[in-house]
Amino acid sequence: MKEKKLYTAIAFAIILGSCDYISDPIPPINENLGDASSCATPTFTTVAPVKKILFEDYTGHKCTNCPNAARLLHDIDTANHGHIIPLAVHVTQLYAGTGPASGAQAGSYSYDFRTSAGNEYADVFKIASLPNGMINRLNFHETNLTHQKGANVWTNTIANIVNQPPKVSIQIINDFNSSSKKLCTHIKTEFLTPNTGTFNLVVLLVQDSIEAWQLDLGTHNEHYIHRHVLRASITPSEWGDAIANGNIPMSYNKITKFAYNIPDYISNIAVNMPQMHVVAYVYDAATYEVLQAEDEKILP
Amino acid sequence: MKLLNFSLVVSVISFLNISKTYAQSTGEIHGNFQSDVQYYIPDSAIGADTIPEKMLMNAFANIIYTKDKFSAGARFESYHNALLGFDPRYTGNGIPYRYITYKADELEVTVGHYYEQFGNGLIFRTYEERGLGLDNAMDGVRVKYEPCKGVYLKGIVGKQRLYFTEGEGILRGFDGEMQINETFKKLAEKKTQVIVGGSFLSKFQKKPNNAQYIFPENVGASAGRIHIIRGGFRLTTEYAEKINDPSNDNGNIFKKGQAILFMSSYAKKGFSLTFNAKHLDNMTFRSDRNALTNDLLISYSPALCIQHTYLLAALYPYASQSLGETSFQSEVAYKFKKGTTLGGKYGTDIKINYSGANSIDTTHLNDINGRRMGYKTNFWGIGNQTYFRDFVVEINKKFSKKIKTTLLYSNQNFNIAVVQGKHGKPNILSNIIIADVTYMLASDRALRVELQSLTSNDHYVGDWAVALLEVTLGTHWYVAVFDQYNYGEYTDEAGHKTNADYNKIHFFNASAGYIKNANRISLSYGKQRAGVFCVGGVCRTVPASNGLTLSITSSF
Repeated sequence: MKEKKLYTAIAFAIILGSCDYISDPIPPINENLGDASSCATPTFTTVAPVKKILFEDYTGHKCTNCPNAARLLHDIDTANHGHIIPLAVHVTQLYAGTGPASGAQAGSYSYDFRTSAGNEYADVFKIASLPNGMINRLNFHETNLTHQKGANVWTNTIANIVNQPPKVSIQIINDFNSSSKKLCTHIKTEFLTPNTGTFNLVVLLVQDSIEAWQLDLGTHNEHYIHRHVLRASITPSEWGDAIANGNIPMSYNKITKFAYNIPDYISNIAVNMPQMHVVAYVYDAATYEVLQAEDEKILP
Repeated sequence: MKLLNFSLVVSVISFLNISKTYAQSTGEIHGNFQSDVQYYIPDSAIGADTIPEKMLMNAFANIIYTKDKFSAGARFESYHNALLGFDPRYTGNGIPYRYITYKADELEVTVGHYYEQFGNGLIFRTYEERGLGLDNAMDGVRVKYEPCKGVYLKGIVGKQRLYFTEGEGILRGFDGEMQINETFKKLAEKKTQVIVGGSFLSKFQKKPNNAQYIFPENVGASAGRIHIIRGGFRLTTEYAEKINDPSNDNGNIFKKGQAILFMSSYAKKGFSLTFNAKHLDNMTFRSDRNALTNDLLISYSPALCIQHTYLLAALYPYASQSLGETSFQSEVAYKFKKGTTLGGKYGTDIKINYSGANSIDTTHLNDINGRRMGYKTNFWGIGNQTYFRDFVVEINKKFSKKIKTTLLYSNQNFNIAVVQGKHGKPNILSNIIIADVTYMLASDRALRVELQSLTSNDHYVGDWAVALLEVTLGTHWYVAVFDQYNYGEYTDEAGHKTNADYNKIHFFNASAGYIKNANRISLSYGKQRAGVFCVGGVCRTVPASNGLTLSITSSF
């Protein structure tokens, strides 16, 4: 009889667990998106393009080894000054969720740096263990996971690509109205070589140097400085929209603008304007490979 | 001419089937081979295009090894290139089917490819229909288990074949069936036999990035069924339901799917009566939400209508509309006994069949930017759009030892806009009359004549006539010729006379075949009009062609 009950329970578990009921099929609209039509397009000046590499550091405040990875990333950023666009993406319930951590003060990890954009990236790129890195999302492979780069290969991977000429240039001009808190961000993209394919532009909101709890090699550090934290997607989708597709000639350029109403808080964490940046990148929609990235502070 | 013969001429061209068995102490090896080759001749009059390769071929060979409770097999397939009308993704050589099966007491395990069906197939059926180019075989693991007498359990996990690749989705499912009279000894001798069953199937397909909607990655479907037999009476019914499954088929709505199938029959000597009914609502189910045509179908629903074999009766075959259909079929068959007025010396068989399908009764919901349910359904409700009607009377009569005949009348109403996607075209109303007479020249020689007529209301269809003459010479040879001709004229609203699409064109065909033991070779030459070829309510488009066809089958 016990066996029958067990089999019945297993059968029902399989049935219930194998169905995704969707009550609201429309993805939530980013309520902070604003109307960009009233954003006056600025004049872009000509600048010499520089190769800039998107470095995604998948991390979590309760990941004890993650600070070491962040420190290594900082060293790489310093060594390749101007070529690295770091992005700290907090993911996984275990390492980045709220709730108590062993030996930590009550309420110490009550904040949540996770974002829907970061969760989506972790899902698609199958980030299961932390720390983990992706460098320009090179070598994407759905099953071999060759796009995930361990800290031991970060330096060499960067060295291999940092001197390559950029294929795309990105310029960002931000216009922030401190009274209305409306951000108009203007992104100019220009293809520096002919390309074929579909290329998307993604624009993200990043907050740098947030002081908050972090488990650091077994120690709970209340004053840890969280660098380059992804806070939100400014593009309606974290995968962006196509800015070019098909056979794209050299010098093809486009100015895209977005409006975003900066909230006072995101996930109960204060948005401190002097810490806020806009990060933009262009990637190949077929391979996920990032061609170029850029970072610009919102306040001068 | 029977469509069976015709389809061989049409779709393929050669068919060879060899079969021998080597029974040895080490086991048995069976094999068979089939090759269909067609040489194409361009013919602008019927719309037959130039084929760059001039000659195309479909071929396959099966090798099956069995020993005791173990069996293993593989199928080699070759398409150089695929025959016209078959999906061009069938190109080249490969071994897309291989498996190993063993049975250990109550447990049977299959790894590799397999075909399987739960119940009537409403939520799961994988099968091969070579004439359609359809093969949605599973590749994975199947386990069958009989825990006690009369109880049968199946579990499956795997992916479906997609030409020479596999579909993206993963299928997981189980089915249980209990034959009540076998399981419970007290009921073993009861006149009423009852079989109950239930099944569940779930597909997993990763949701797309940056999608407009939140797609479910796990879509489940479940079904329950009962089968009752008492004397000559049989009743089967099955109900199935599928959760939200937005797809290309349904325009990405999130409404659940429902299906119910009801089949009943009564038979005694010389008399039978059947009544079947079916309701389908949003039940197209594939292992890839983006798949189209016949690719990666999981669910199956047979069309409730006669599967005509005569050419003109099958000119517009009905295909199940799994997105929405309420259909029925009823048939009464009676044999007038020998020696009666209508029975004559040898008896007379008469069969009357009436089948039909309509749209379902729905109410549109304006929620396309909300829950995206699309519409509400009045379950079992009949919509006002006629998809299909077929009223058939068939009489089989043997007049003497030398002469036997089949007479068939069919009145059809076919919604070509819905069934074949030819939007804007009105329903085709047609009357078909067929006479099939066989005259035995000798004990091993026969002459068969078929005369067919189709008259319609539609200039697109026109009016067709078919005449066939077939001679069977001994047990090995046959020769047949037939002509299909459209003589119809149509007067449009302005009073102008126009011709049917294939007006005044002779679709002449001649064929000959040699059959000996398990080998068969046939050769035919002629024209084939463009049309639709269906098996069991699933169809494929057949383009017009003209040419020489060779078919070989063999087995060993």
